[in-house]
Amino acid sequence: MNIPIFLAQFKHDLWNEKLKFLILFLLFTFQVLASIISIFYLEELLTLFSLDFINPTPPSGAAAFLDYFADQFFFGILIISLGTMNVFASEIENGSICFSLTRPISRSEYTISRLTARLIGLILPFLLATFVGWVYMGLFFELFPITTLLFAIIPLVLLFIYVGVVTSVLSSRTSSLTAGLATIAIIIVQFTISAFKPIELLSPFTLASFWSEILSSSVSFDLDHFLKLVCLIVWSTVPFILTINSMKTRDL
Amino acid sequence: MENIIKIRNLSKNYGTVKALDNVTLSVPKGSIFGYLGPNGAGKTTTLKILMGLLQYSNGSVEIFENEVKKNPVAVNRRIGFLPDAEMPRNDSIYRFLNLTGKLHKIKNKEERISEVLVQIGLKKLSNRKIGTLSKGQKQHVGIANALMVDPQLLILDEPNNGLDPIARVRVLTLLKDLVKNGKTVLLSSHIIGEVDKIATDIAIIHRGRIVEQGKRKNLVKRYLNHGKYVIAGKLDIDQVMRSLEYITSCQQDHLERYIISTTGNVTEEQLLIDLIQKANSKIQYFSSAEISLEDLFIETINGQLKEGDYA
Repeated sequence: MNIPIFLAQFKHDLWNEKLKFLILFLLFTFQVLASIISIFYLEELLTLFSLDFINPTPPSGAAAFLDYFADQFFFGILIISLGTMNVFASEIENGSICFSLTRPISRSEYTISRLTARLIGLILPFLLATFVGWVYMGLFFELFPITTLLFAIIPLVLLFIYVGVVTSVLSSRTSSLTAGLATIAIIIVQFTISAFKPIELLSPFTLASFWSEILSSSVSFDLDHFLKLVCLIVWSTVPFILTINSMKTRDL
Repeated sequence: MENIIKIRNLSKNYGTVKALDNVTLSVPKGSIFGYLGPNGAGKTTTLKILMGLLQYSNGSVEIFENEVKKNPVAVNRRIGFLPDAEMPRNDSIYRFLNLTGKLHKIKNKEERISEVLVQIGLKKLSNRKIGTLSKGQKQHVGIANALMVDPQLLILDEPNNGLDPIARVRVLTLLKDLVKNGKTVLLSSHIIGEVDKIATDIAIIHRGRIVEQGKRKNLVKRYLNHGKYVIAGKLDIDQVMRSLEYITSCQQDHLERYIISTTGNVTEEQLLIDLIQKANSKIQYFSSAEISLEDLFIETINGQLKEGDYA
């Protein structure tokens, strides 16, 4: 790979993500703050309106982040899927990729640059919003251990990468809409399959369910977690290689 | 003369459709090469293969003595290309050209951007987003992008699409100047009149096959012993066509005059007039007309068509 060429393209692609970045940052920040506030104040708020409610989760930093991460398991995956469904498809559809790929840049460099920029543009707002939530907690409630939080984020970020790359591999072969819908279908199928014990380990979704454990019992990464982590990395790498290969050989 | 592009026995299939069928083509260095053909003939497919955007089934494609398949990036470094495609809407003109400059590692990038924008008349709009420009302005940006590299070879797919007449003349003049400075231009078009004004070499492609190829002057010369005549009067076309075999086509123009094309057998115009008048017709006006590249194109394509076919 020609690093200066890659970096020039990457900088350009990353700058194109700025608007998405801002919108997602605001969205994720709203979600994390809403989770924290609702965990700590929900009971009081409902009592104010004379509603009888007992919060099933005792108010704590871990509960607040658990709530926020659980939301991301649905909204985050949907956002990543929607955000990456046109990473290649729209350019291929309208032909503007002809301008990009007739500059002296290899298809692999171009594909990796586009994909990385898009994924960073989607994942970085999530990480920043989580950090904002952590600071907010420290200011008003309790400072949650940052190392535990980081360990809990890893599977979610890897899951985002996996979903993003799956959508991209489809986006390099078909239309945006088909890519988005097909990814959601794949996720549903894989999520359903992961309920079956013998193949649980092979599912990219099982590790994500462990963040509750990590958050509630501080850092304890046993062998089982490690294997699942490796599994998720493999799940992300295979479609990544497929995307690059698919873009290398396809007619544009 | 040295050939900058050499295509040999090139074939490309889209499923069962043969887009290119055994195409062999050479583009001489320092020429303005007009690549002509009706819509869907295979012009864009050929150009995309040259730029490494399409894979091909058979044959070989060499540019600057490099096989395109083996190292498309090295080839792209020396070519300015204008595709017939949408441009990225969200980039400003400056950002778009700046990226081209960076990837081509152009020294004095800023100066070069400024130069091409002045050349193409878009200097004042450099911060405008491409998506907000008119079709003609976008086409100008595409041409500026192709010129950024100061390329040895310029490949342009329908460069005059969306341009007004003044801009068209400006682009054609620009291309002529580039060739004067030792560059080579390959342009595809279905607007024959414009190519006729500047092309030194021609290839005509039809249904994926090269049907004519050579120096423009030689090709037109070959057709000079053919005749083209403008006739006004009352003609019984069917009888004229039946009785005079060397009349290859007869069409009426907007002034209801007949434009007759003949093969090379007619040496005396008076003889033709007499023969037409014998065929139940009355001529009021008769004159010969100049054979143009357009005639050559129409003649060639018509020769390839079967009755009831459309190009």
